[in-house]
Amino acid sequence: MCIGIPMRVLETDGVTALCEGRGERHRLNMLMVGNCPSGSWVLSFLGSAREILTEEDAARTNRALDGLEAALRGDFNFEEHFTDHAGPDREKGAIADLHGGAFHRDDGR
Amino acid sequence: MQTCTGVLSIVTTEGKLHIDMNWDGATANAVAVRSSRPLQASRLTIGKPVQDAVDTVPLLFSVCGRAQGVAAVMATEAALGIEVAGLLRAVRARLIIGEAIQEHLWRILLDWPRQTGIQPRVPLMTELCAGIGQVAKPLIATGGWKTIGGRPDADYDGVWLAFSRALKNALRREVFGCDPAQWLELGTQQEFEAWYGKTGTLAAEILRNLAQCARFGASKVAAMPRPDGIWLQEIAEAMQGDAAFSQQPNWQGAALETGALARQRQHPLLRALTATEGNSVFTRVVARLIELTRLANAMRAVPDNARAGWIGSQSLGKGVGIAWVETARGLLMHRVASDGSRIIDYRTIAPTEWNFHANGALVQGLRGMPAASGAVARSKAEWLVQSLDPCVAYEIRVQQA
Repeated sequence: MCIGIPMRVLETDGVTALCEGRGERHRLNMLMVGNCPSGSWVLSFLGSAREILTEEDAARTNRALDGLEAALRGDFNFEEHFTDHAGPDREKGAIADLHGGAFHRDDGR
Repeated sequence: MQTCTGVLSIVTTEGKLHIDMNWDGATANAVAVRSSRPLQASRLTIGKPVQDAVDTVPLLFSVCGRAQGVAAVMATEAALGIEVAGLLRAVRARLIIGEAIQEHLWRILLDWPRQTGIQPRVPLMTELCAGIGQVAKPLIATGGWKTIGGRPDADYDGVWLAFSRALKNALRREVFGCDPAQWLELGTQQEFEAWYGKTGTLAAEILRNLAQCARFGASKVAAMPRPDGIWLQEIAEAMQGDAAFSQQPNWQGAALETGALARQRQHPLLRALTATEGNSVFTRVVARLIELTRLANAMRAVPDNARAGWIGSQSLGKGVGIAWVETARGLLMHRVASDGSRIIDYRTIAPTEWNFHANGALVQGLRGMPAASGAVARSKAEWLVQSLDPCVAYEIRVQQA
């Protein structure tokens, strides 16, 4: 599942840019989006800026990712993270175990 | 211990694939894949009104947002028993195909050149991405494509056909050095080798390089069949049961390979290559080139796209529906259950779960792979991972016995 992260450009040399998003700073390859001025929002995926986002797009994506991260921490609150619409009565249990993937080892036999 | 981090990731949210193996002095073995991805993120939608859920899914998985949005809306429509106009299905297929073309171009014009020491074709990629953007813009203008039972946005065949011409010209000029339709006619390995042996354009240059170093990684993992009939029925039933199935999907107990090679395997050249070297890295690279070319050729008027076989959905009884969407990386499936207004269950299987299964194409391709050193084992593993193209960052660790 291709989870992209909205990041804001802090400083750029045209080819790469130091970007900040979701509490982390990374230098992204900017070849695909061109020279974005400081303050622009881009969608980061696997080390590259994939597209330019509007501030509104970035905020909506961040809100959805906030919900995902809260669920991973076990304290997801529907009302808090999806406030665009009236939320239903929902139970926390329904979103348990969002992280999949037990460790699988192949013994090579 | 040698560690190779494939690509940067923001680990807390995206997670990654951890690929571990031993090098025993001659071969790779004890291969293991562990995922720290939030695989069941779609379960966040449980309890939401159906349209809110459909709107949320593309935000969570924004890089393949069109594929995710189309799978979400079609699975929900199937669950609710809503039929939509053929034109809307066609518009959705067009968006999906545009997204797949963009991902294939990313590999072919940027990633593979970088990995083989060739200059990446950044200006061409930028130009073609702008073309895909122009095609998509009118189609997504009012959000009809991801509205349950929605109306299609305006039909702009002219923009699509202009992009098709631009793409075919670019493939001729910079990628194949000949008409893409002609290139697709290269049916035997001899003709194919003669072509890449004497051509100076990008694809030939990449293939000359890979012909020397990428003829490994084959496995007995079968190609995924077309998602219909009994196969789709069995997978849909399995998705309904244990939630773990979506994390380690299998058919009749075995992993399958999904992606361009599985879809295009009937092409004469791919039949010849698989007969001699199986699903090697090299064969997969050729399959991507063939698929991109076929997609460029298939970009005709809207009704043709509806028949392209890249999207589909099926009702599984009252309140339950499944949809599938082909993406550049392989098959994406969404299964939705609804009480008529809200989501009561939501499960997905992404292509990475098939190809990076605990006993899937990557693991079987690496197991027993000859390598002259730990560093060579790591480099070959890197190519094998890239040929299967995970939708998440990865880390390869080689333990030397």
